[in-house]
Amino acid sequence: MGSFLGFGGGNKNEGSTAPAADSQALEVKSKIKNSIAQEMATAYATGLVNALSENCFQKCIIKPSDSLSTADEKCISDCASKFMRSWNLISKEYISRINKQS
Amino acid sequence: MSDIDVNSVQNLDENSKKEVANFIQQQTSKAKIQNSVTNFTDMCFKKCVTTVNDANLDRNEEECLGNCLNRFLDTNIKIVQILQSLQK
Repeated sequence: MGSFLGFGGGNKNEGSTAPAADSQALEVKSKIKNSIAQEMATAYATGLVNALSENCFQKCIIKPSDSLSTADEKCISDCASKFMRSWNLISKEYISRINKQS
Repeated sequence: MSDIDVNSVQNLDENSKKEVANFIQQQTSKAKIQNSVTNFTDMCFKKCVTTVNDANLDRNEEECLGNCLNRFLDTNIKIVQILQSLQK
């Protein structure tokens, strides 16, 4: 399975330290890493946006009207800020507990 | 996102494969922790932050959040112990 002709010359590599193979491996590695990191960041952001929206909607929009009032917007922004501060606090606390237990 | 050629991945040398596998493992555990933190925050924010008047957490809220997390984790441990004792 798999052809070896995908990239430049079909010569056998003697030792894997040939500069061409090296820089190609570097490129593939960084592509994989970047794409994984990108996926992770998206998943994290999505989860956070959902949690923030749900909590702040619950706290700030008591009676939904035909648009967001200035007060609503202030509440949403304060709420989001409180939520993120809570996230940081919980994160610190959780990590210190994990470190204590292991 | 740029496409990654399957062959070029398969043709990576052993060290590179290991490096990528390690990276994935690191990212996975980071994601697990971030995910848990978001869930805990969601849960404890509901319990501890009852009013939104400004952008900062007050002392009581901070204390409540810390307690909330730790008591939840205690609860978690207790539940595991109870289930283990039921198995016997």
